[in-house]
Amino acid sequence: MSAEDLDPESLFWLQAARERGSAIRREIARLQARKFAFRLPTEVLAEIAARAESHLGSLEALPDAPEFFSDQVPHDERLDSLATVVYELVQLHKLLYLLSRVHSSRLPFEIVRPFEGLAAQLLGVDSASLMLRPGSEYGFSINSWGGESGRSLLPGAKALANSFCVFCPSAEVSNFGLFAILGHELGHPVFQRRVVSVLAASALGQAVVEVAPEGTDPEVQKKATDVLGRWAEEMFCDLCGVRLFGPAFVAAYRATLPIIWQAEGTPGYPSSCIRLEGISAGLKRWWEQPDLAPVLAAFPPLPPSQLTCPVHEDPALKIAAEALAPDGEFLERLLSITEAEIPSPSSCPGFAEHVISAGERIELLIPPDPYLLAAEHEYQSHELVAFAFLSAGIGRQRANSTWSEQFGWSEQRCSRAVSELAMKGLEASDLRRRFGLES
Amino acid sequence: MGVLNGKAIKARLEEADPAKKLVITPLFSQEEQLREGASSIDLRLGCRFASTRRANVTHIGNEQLQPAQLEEFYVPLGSELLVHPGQFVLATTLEWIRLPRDLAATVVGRSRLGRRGLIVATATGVHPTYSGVLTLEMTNLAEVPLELAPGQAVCQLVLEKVIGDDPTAATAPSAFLGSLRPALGEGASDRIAGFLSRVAQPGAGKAPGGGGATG
Repeated sequence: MSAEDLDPESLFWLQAARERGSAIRREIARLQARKFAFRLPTEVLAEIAARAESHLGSLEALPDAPEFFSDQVPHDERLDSLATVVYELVQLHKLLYLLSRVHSSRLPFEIVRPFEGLAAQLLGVDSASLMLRPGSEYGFSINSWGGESGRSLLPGAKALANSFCVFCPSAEVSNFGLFAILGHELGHPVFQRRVVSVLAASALGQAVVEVAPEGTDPEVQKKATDVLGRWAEEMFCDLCGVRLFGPAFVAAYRATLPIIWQAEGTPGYPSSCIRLEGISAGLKRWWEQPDLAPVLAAFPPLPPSQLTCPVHEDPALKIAAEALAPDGEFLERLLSITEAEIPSPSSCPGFAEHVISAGERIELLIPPDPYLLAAEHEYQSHELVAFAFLSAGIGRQRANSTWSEQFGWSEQRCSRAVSELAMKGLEASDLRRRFGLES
Repeated sequence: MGVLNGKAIKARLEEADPAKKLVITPLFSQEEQLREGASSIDLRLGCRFASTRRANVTHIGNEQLQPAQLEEFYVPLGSELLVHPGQFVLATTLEWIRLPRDLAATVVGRSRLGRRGLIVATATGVHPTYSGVLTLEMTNLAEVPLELAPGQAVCQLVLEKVIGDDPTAATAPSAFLGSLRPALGEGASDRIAGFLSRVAQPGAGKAPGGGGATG
């Protein structure tokens, strides 16, 4: 028996698998002909190619595997194995699609290496890899390649360990200030790797029991515990952004708020009102210090405080919202966990002065120089990155009026120049630091 | 004008007064980039490049080339760019430059690259108060492709003192100012060129400003 003698159903699946396989091989070849700006996409593509070739090799070997076509292999089993190959090839196609736009030259490639350093520092690993990609959503999100889906599609892929794909809104890929949102996005892997174990289900359950009305249905309590767990992750990530970038994170959050605004919570996300209260608590705790006052003053305030939090109709969501009350113990616990897990640049001696003076440099069209800070203090990635974002904010505030008067520049032109100054400052400092470490 | 020697360049890099300070960043090693006895400072090839999109640009006339007609690309450090014979590419310096009010500069291609056929920077003058990366216009005049690596020394900056410095003068707006990417220039309108192009037309003859020629 050979492939030609197969029953029509098996033949259909075999042909489908081969056709999809050759299409995916062509797509891989097309992407391999490109030059990616950083090593992660190149490495991921190599892993995808190896995996696809393994599937395709098994398909090509079928004509030489008469046992596969014999009656020894039951018909259903044969169909299952062919369908599995098609399914896995289609899943690989999804990964290929992720790689299809990572070469966009508008992306701020200058920030990739400093953010890789920041991610490695937060995760407590030797190195991390980051890939930026314009996305269709008007917001930021992070995809952990090393997560469950990546591991199942590319088992054993070394390139995927501690590697992340960050999606950013296509129309804003050059807007440096918005990338402070990555403080939130990098919080997700930190939460999943370290905080989940600290914030055990029992702690969530306890928080629910404390606020749930007496006699609450156990099913509702269970749902409220699940919801609180998911909300806690989002709140922790917000606090991670505030802890790292302070008012620069708030400004980026504020800018995207009209798009991500959520009047009421959903099982996956707390309402924007609850999140703003958490952000406000973090800002107050870590950034409202006398020496940081000029830094804070350069940024827009949090959105209007007259917003009132909605009362959720769903009893489980209502309980979760009450557990996250501004003065409640649970929010206090999240603040303490963030403090323990995430370093803050605001406590670095001389940080505020350097940031303010870097803002003045930007006004003079000189890139900020976090390396100056590194020369005086023990250098850390999170300080460098926060430094660039904060000085860009101060620089933007100072430059808008100076440059529009001096050069007649529009606000958009000023914003573009500040973004490019900050990106160059970050890149230059990162390179000088690495050069210094090597010398 | 007088050309600054290595010692004078070093002094300007270390100047505390922002109005007089020469900024070049990143500057890895003054000793290696500012050789003793030399009257210039080495600059390195950056990662951002651009070339004209051939598919949808029929020709470049006197009107402004739109940024969207340029294809930008990023070559990371550790990778190479091949420039083919006859190819024209806009490149950038890795360094961001800011000149004080009393210094101007000239960009000179490295002779080592010139002898291999690469012409760097045809528009070589950099005016006082310029701030940004430098856009380099590069063409390969050789018969074989040339390999370039971001980070390699690509040109030298010769700095000159400007006579008649006016410390109160405002920074001149430049189309290239404050840019990290290869810049085309936004093209200020050239009123005189407009006048000259109309002068032979019937009914023309009035000078710019409508006041007539005065001698």
